[in-house]
Amino acid sequence: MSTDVERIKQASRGLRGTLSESLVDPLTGAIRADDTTLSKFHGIYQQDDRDLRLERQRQKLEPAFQFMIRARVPGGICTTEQWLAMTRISREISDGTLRLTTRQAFQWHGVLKAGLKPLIQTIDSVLMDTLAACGDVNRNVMASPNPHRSKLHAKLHEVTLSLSQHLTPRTGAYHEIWLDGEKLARDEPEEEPIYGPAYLPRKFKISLAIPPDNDVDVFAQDLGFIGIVEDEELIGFNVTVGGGMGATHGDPQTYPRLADVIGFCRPEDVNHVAEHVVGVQRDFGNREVRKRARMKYTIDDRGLDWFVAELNSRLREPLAPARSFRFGRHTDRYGWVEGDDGLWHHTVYVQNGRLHADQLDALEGIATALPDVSWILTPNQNLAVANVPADGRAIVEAQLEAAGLMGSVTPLRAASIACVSMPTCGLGMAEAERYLPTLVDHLEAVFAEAGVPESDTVIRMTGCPNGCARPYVAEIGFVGKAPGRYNVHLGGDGRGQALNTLWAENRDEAEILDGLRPVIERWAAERENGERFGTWVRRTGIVEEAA
Amino acid sequence: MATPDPAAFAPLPDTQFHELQQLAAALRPEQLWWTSGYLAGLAQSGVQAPQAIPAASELAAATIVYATQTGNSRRIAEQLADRLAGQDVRLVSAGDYRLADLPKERQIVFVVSTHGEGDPPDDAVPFFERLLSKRAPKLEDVRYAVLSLGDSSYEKFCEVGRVLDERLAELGGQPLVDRVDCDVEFEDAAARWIDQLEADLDLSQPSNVVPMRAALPAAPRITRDAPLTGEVLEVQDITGRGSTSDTFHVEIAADGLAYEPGDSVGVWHDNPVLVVEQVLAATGLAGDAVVRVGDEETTLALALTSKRELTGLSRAVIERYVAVTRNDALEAWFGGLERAEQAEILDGWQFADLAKAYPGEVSAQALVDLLAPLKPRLYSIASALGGDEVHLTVSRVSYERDGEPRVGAASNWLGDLDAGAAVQLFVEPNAAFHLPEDPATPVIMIGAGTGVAPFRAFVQARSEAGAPGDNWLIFGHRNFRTDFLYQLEWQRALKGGDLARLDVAFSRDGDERRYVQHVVADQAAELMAWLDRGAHIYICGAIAMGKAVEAALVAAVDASGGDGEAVVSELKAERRLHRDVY
Repeated sequence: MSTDVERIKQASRGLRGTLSESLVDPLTGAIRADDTTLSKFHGIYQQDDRDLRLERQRQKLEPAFQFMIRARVPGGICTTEQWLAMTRISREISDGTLRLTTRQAFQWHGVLKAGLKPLIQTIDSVLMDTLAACGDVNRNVMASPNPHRSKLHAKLHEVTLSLSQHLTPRTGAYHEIWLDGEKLARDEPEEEPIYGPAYLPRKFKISLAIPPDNDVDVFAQDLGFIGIVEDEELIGFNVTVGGGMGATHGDPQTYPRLADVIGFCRPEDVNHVAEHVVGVQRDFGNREVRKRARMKYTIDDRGLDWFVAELNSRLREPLAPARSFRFGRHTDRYGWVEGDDGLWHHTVYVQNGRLHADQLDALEGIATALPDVSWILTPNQNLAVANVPADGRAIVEAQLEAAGLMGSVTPLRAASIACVSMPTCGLGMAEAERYLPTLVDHLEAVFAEAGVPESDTVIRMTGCPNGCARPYVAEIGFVGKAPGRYNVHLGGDGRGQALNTLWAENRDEAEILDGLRPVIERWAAERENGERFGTWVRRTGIVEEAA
Repeated sequence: MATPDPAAFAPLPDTQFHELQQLAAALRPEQLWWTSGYLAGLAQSGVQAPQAIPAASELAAATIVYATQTGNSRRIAEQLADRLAGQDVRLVSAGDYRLADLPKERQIVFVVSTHGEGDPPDDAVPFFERLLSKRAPKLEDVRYAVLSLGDSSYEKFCEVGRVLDERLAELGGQPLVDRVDCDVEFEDAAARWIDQLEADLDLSQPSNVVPMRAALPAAPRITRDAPLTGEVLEVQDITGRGSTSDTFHVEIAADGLAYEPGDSVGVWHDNPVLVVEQVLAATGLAGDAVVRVGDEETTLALALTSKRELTGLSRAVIERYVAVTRNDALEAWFGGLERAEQAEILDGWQFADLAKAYPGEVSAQALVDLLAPLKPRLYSIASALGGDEVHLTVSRVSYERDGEPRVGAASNWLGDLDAGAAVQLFVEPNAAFHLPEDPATPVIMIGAGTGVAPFRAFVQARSEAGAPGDNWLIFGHRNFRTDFLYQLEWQRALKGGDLARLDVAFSRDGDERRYVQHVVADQAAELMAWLDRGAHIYICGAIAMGKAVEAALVAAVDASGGDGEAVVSELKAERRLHRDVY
């Protein structure tokens, strides 16, 4: 028996469903139930303001339905014209803020049904889209920023764009529904050569990294490409498969998993390899039990050897043996960096990735003065202004200052990220971005009292176990369980190559702080050679090595 | 216990015996004699009196109610419903379930989940609040079962199911099977529970007894001057945050208040403190001055609060105020106004406005004597559920005049009442606004703002009666997001067929102002088709809106090639066009 979602996809006529009818229904701010599944493939999640849910029900009003829209930004880079269009949407259509995501995408919240078409049309006007930003397809392809820093990164960006394009669904539904494109002449949807009529069993995530930076958390992805450099040339990629963060509380059948390195391919083979990895998952992924549908379970159920053999049988030539590589960190580097070409790039910390209206106004000053800069969304939901000529640096700094983005934050805060959760995300069980800054205040005090105020221990928080902020590779991961209560995971390695382990369950703030304080104090006293917190807790057996 | 409890020997359940005792205590001797004969007559008349047979005619043999957050409870409920497919079983979410149906159920099955700190799923919160409140009905003949989902890593594991189970038992329900508490891996336990229920549910058709309503003797008449004392059950805002209007829904327990949909209820209110203080300030009088009202001695403040009309102004009051204060300026000014201007003043001013604009010397007693007695306010009744409740839809009147706040007396008094407060009520019949005799006649209901109130009563009544006629509601207000009064109920009615059509117009949402009359214009063809089928049209709302809708009707008929004026007057002559405008 396949799931509801499978039935809806199959019957959707290339992701059309009844979205057009839903959009013009004046009696509800929602779209039809089946369409909420399909809208995700168009980058749109129906949500409601959960803070108002009960109040409105008492008022005999439907929930305050609103939509979250995500725009794809392959590799996280966009032009000034595109940036300005994105900020215009925040001002005129959404709740006033612009959210940079952990997958280098733009996200808007609080958009009403009537705002959907204007929003997508604005995005289209600057040659971007929201297609496949969510849904059971390949999502936004991530890549280590930034292409201007070196020719290696430029090459990486080229590969990223090509791969993103290659895996984009072919359906015309997007144009038809949102851009008033022509309707299908016959009621025959377009063929999807890579996905087929039911698309994938579950979401599919890809990232590309160049060591030593693992900011894209390549091991947390269904499919990853680790750039291998020889003699200053990007000669190819190690291929990784089977990573994924999502889990369900209390269900041992679901778990986070790190990807396995299965071989090496040349840059020109990336699209070919990706297409066939997608193909194996399309054909063998679990379509009966949705929470077991990610590729990590396909691999665990059938074995990695089987997977590699199946993949190789489909490839022009089997993957070559993997090369050696070494990652240093999975967090961002802040401040100015000079690129190979003499242009400068500045990365700033954006709390929770959310830019508010006044910050967007200040950033517009950069766009006006230096229209040729690029805007880069980092995988840790921060922002980089790139391609700045040396004499433009002062302007950039002044405007970032005006936006409140130049203030000094502790390394602890700068290494922390949180997902959105309350009040808009329907999955959230506890606060995340509205609460993490407060918890970090407290943890800063704990680290300072322990004598390590300079610690950059990686802290990540999500409001539910699905893992959007990749909490299971953090040194300290908080996973929401109920309002005000979190599971605490310890033991990442600061490089995204180790899963952490559940250390304490269902803890409130006081319990979290009281529990962590002695551990942090002990680490500060006993660590060897600047040993990271997450490494130390595993070495000393405070948590067991993840299986 | 010193004396044996008589209830223990009575052939009635405790609660009924208690009610009988209460009734008997309130009756005069001749009424007691009459009642004994009436009840004996009922017993002998050969017609089956309403026994403890549930009114099962419209309810299924078993109802499955789910309360779900993540969908697990719903899926289990659906599995059970699938298993019982083809039999007389109803599946409904707790958010959609009417608590009033609960005592009428034969068998009811709950699948509920617990979240966070022992909380029910969001949409089930009101259901549980009501079930746990003292308004919950008694369940003497209801058999029930509960499957409870939860996560044992939480402290309050399966709390909601446990509380539900205990409450249903407390209300008198009889368990069908024992409650089962399921952990995260619920599938097996749920499957076993479904098996057991399938075996234990009685899905045979109920005996074909239609409970009849015995003709009741006339209750003591409730009138304007002999009102009924009702008890406020709930005052609930029904416009959302950010609304430009403040509209609330009042539910009042009004045992014995007989009314028909379309009727109004009269409410005896007190003047709010602010209104009284403004009159005292404008006249310079002290609230504690002693005055006589009829035979009663009281203070001026109390007299102004509950005996005198302060927010409505009449020509007679102005004349008496002129006479008492010898205010020639006022007389000259008001007398010099055109009739229409005078009407505007009488409509828009409160007494405090008059006394402030034209101050004059007046004693406390003279003030009480010159003011008119307090008048009750009429509200269209917004309910028809029976159950001895009356619901009102009230818009709070509140505005500024010359920088000072002014409030409407009754709307603010009602809006500030707490549950449990007493309200004096009577029914003001509105025969011209009743539903068509024939339940098969289609009705078109056009209402703006609180003008939608009687249509809530209409739809409830036609639904309850199973009336086959189609119902079409055209509703208008300012903003979709905040002012779609009773939105959830209308959506449900449309889904369930109690509304055949629902059209809306929100005037402040788009660039152009769209009102109900624009819907009438847009839907002219459909409207004509309904009229051809004999539809009645009901219009409720402000006077201007009523006129605009009528004009749109005329235009709609004209547009379809008919003679608009003639058709509309014919509709009126046939009593098919009904208006309740204010």
